[in-house]
Amino acid sequence: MADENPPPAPEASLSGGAPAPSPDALSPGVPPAAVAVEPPASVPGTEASGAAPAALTMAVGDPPIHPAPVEIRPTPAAPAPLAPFTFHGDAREYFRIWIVNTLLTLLTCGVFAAWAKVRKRRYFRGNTEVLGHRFDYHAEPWRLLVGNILVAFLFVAYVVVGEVYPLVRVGAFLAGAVLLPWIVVRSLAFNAHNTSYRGIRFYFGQPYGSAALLYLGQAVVIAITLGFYYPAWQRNRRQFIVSNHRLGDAFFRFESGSSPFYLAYLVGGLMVAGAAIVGLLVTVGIVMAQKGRIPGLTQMLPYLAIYGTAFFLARHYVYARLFNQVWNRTHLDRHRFVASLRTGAWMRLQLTNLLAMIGSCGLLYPWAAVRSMRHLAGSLHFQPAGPVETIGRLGRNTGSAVGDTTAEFMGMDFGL
Amino acid sequence: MNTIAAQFLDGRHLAARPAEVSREDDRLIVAGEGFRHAFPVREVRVSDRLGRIPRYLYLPDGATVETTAHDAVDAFLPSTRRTRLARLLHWLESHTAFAAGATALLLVAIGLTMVLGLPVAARHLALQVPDAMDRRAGEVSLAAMSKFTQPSGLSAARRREIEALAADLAALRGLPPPRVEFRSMGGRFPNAFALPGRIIVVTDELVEIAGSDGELQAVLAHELGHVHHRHSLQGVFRGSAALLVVTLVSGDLSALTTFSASIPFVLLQRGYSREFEEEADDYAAETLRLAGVDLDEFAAILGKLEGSREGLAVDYSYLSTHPHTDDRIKRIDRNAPRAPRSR
Repeated sequence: MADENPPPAPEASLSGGAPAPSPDALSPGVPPAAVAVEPPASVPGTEASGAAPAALTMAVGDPPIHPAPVEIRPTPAAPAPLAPFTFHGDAREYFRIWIVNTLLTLLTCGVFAAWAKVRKRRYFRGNTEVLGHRFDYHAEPWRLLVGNILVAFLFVAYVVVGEVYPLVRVGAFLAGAVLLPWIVVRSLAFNAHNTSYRGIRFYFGQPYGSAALLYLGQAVVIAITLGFYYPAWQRNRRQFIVSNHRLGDAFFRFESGSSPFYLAYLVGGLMVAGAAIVGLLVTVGIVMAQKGRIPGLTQMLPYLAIYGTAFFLARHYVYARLFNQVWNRTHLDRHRFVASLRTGAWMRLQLTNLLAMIGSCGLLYPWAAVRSMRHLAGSLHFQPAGPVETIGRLGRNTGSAVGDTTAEFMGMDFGL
Repeated sequence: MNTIAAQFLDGRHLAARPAEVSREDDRLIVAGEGFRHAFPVREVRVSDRLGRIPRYLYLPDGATVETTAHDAVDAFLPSTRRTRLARLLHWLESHTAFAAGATALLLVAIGLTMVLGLPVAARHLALQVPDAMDRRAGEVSLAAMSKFTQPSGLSAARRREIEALAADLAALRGLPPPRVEFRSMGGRFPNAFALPGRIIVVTDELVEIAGSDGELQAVLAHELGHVHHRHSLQGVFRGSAALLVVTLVSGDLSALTTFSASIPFVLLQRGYSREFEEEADDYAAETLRLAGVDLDEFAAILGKLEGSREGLAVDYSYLSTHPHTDDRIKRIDRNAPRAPRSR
């Protein structure tokens, strides 16, 4: 999933959702007069440059002018226009790439999977454009191969040895849990280091302490609170991922409370609960119709279909909400991001993706991936607070953009 | 030599400057307004070609050149093993014919895995199932079968005789005696079934139709073949690829018991696959040879079973998927040397 995220940096990519009206969405419904009388304090900063002057002129023309509001309006020093993220991927082109790589992976018994993965990431990042430039992914496939072989070896050892000494499985499980923070940090760092934009690399710090706290300590809290802590944990996870990323010497920051996360999961949960009730009613109806005979597996199908669809939609609803929330609260230095992913459109898109995938036995995966990415990129904007050229490289590391820095990283990717 | 239009990224700041890249002997020249750099061509690495995404020339001092002039870049830089592989990949990826071929190959591979791999996995898995689990599956399917059969009307003595026949046959193959269950099918469908848990169900109707113990032995030997190969469990795994995959991956067999309840219904309606029947026939032929039972007995009971099916409006007999009786007899004759005449 991480692959499909637009800007490789905050791999977080992944989720967010702003209830607040995004600048793009606000124009149509709001009459100019209303804007004039009550300048929306929250909006000015985010307004596209073209829209602001227009609204002002209108306001001047209207009789009841309150000088105060106009003064209050903070006029940021020439707010730069929103820079859209654009995805240039093409479904046909990606299909050809995907099918060839999938076949080669099968023919090589999985060895080629590392190359296929790098090509996939390069394709998605290399087709994502903002401010006139694309993202570059330059991981060496053999590093992924090492990680893959290690994982395969551990898995086989786990199965084979565990067959003889079951205690080994418990030990391996505990070892895996303890190593999880390290694995997460390594993977994020590996991918960040191998992604660059305009010749400047992304970085991910080495916050093993907070990773352990997050993935071990807080995981326990989730269990103790029977999952009620989960939305807050999601917030903390995004915070952890975004805030430890850098582009060159510029830090990413993420500032958000937990309530939007709770809200998103609450709505998602209600969707699932509602579907469970509707499904139950349908099942009860079927039971009544056949005079109390207990329904067989086939008669449970409507229930399973309703529940499954609702669960799927709820997942993507939460994804869209959190996508907006995370990106709208993410800063890169003084610059910020504006996300306006519409939940309804996103759920429709994912539902058609699902149907297409099922109908084509998975062959339409490239089409689904490309159109998801195009939609996500189209919902995201970068809002520079000034020239971005001031962002520089980190430290004085010279040498090739590809060569040495990766070497200090035992670059492994565990497929997270 | 011509030049390539590109963007120069100095690696120090997030700034891009237009530049022209050219080659002078074995040096790569990157020049633009107010700068001109030269690098040994050998030390320049180029990103592989992929779709239409920009190409990056990674320069030895940490700077990068970004360009979309793919063909020019390819022509510019020396070809190494790495770039040749990348070029081959790109060539494969950019031809629709290869995409179509790969799709077809992939579908064929998946189909072959399903057709060839599924039975192998099902057999492997069925033989792996622990005896305790096999017995539990047997109880479940026997209970399911009891719902549409009646208690047997055979005398206890006759039952013991038949049990002894089955035990003797099993002993010839070095196996513990199977558990023989007797059921009545309401006067129709002379039949015998092999269930999990080493259970052989014999119907009263079969015992009535059999003219001799030899004929009963033939049927029992055949069912012992199913028991030996655990065809009932194999059938369950073959019938549900989902169960097979889940069990293979997780090693959890608990779902198997649930599925076992369906075994009698499947046996009654579709029977075993032709392949299973032939396996059981081969097993029976060998067992009967060891027991000194003439294969004519097998042929005789097969003929009677076939005759009993005629005239049924709905063919419920599990024999319906059996190979044609004549073929089966010929097959056994061919594969198994005749036992010396016992009579």
